[in-house]
Amino acid sequence: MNLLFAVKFPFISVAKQIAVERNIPINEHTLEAGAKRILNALKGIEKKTSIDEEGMLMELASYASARILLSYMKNSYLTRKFAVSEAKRAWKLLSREEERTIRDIGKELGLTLEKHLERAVVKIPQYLRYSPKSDYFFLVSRNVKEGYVDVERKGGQDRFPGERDYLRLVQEAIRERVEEIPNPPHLPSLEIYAKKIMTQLPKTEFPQIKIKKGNNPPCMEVIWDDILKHKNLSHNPRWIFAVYLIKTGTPIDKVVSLYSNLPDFEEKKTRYQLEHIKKRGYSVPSCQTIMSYGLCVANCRIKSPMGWFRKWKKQEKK
Amino acid sequence: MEEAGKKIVLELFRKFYEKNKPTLKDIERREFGVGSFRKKIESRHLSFTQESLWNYLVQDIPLFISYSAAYYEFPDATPMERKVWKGADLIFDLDVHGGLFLTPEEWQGVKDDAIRLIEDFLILEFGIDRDEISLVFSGNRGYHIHVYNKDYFGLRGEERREIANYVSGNGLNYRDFFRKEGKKLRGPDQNDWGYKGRFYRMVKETIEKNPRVISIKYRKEKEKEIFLNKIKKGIWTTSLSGFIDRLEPIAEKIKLKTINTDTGVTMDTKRLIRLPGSLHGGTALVAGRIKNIDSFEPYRDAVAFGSSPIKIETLKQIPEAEFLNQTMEKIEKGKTKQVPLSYGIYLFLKGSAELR
Repeated sequence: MNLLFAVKFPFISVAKQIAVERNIPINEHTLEAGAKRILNALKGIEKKTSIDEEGMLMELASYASARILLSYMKNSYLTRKFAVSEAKRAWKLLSREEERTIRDIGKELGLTLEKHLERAVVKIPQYLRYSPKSDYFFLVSRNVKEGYVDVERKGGQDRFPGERDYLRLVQEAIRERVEEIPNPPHLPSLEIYAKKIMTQLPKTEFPQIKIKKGNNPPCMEVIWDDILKHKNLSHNPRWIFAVYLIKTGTPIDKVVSLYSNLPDFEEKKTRYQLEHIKKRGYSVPSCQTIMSYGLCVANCRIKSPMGWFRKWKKQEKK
Repeated sequence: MEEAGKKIVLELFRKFYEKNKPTLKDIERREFGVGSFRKKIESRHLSFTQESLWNYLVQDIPLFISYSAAYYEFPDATPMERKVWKGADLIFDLDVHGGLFLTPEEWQGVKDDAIRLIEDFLILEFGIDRDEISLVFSGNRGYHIHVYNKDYFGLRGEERREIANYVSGNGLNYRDFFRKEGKKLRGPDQNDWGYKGRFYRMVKETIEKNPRVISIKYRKEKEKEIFLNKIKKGIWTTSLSGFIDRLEPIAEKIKLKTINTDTGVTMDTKRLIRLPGSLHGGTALVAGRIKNIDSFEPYRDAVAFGSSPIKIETLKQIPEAEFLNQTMEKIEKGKTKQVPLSYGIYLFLKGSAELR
């Protein structure tokens, strides 16, 4: 296994092995580079992989150092943001690899691409573990049989059967692997770098908007809390809460600043989608739909989250 | 509920547990919870060996006893995090909300659901072996289905929710099965599995047997054949207006084949669930493992105390019901009457009568 491979996919066991074999140190330099790697993840800056030996060794060390720093800092926002960014990076690199490599890495992460009844499949429990929580990946819209989920797309375009869906699952598995942070070794210089990173951390945005926290249906409050905790929400809660905010008269700028708390926030994309919601006049889904997404948290005896809002507004007028 | 009646019940429970010894796989790794006349689960974080459980049942006589679907390293540790969760069986809770007694139709409905869940979903689609599935009478209004498959042990709550959503068809929208590809409309084909496969087969059957549900166009043999040949390969393009809307009645039929199960139970990986072989304290029926569901009749086969006579005084009107293989007559409120023991205890525990 070569060094470049370890640099590309530093989260797999071979990479760790190489780091040990090459005796890669953790020191001020590598911690500096690790801190930079975290900050780049925070700012969404993508770095090209080095190709010279020295650069590669440093890059591998920066990954290990970044994880040591994260384990010392115990800041879940940073860890998530780092994991999302590393998974995305790895996904891009992996998309260019051969089928064999993709399968091997997937397998190490607990995702085996198999063939069953002439289809490319993944075992149901493995699939459930790593499938993104979105309509496309929900089990109900999938082909399920004899313990397997079909991941093959119809109409071609995959380089090998199942490629794109499988890669998406592998990306999630990578995110989880990177998020598992070991206990930190005791290094005195950790504090210095930790402080440096913390100064760059965005403040939790709590924009002043028309609706106040505490005056919303419980399901919306939960999503709101999750955003403030920088959780990596799936598409449905993001979308529903955005529609709710817009329908209750929140300006797009405010929604954008609230959504900037999400670990994979991209301003351009967010703004575009919010404007789309506004333009098309989407309405807030009914409670029944929200329940089917698994986002209902209480029995409020209303039919739609908007019902709660209207009721609250009426009371406010009195 | 009068104290004298409670005493009689506890004595009957004790006698029951002297003769009947519930067994449980991996008992040492499970958490237990027990309840009384006041509450179904009054204290939890208990742990037993097979032997100590049997002693406990006879000595402490809990009215309800439940165990964790989860396996823990330290089942009696508190708080929950210190138990160290190791995995959990997959549980489905099928329940009917009904009156004092469920009607034969209500029993049939939940029985059909249980059979479909096991045969169509768990075995055919989830690939679970029959001997890894245990069907248990809940002791009250339905069935619990326990799945002991090690591939599913480690699933977390959210992932279990998806399984519950799948079997209950939550979030199912047949329109998602279709997508436009240029001018072509692509949809399910003959090789599809899961809901898509079901949908394909139902459309095919409708076209073959009752085409007017979709369009009178398909009454012509030629048109029928062309259409069936196309959809076999997943091509659903037609000249009919609002074609996807026309398939709605078929999609509605799929929903009838889904399972009405309590998602909250399936996704709760720390849930306590009635111990198979124990008595349900709200009915005195045995929550037993069922070997042959087709012939199982709860009010006959789960009865624990037989039919020696006992006198009761009704606190409300008791409707006519089938119990112990006989038709129990309607009893007006405030009447004193001699009834079979199991039936009397059932009414007492339901709060509908006192024992006299």
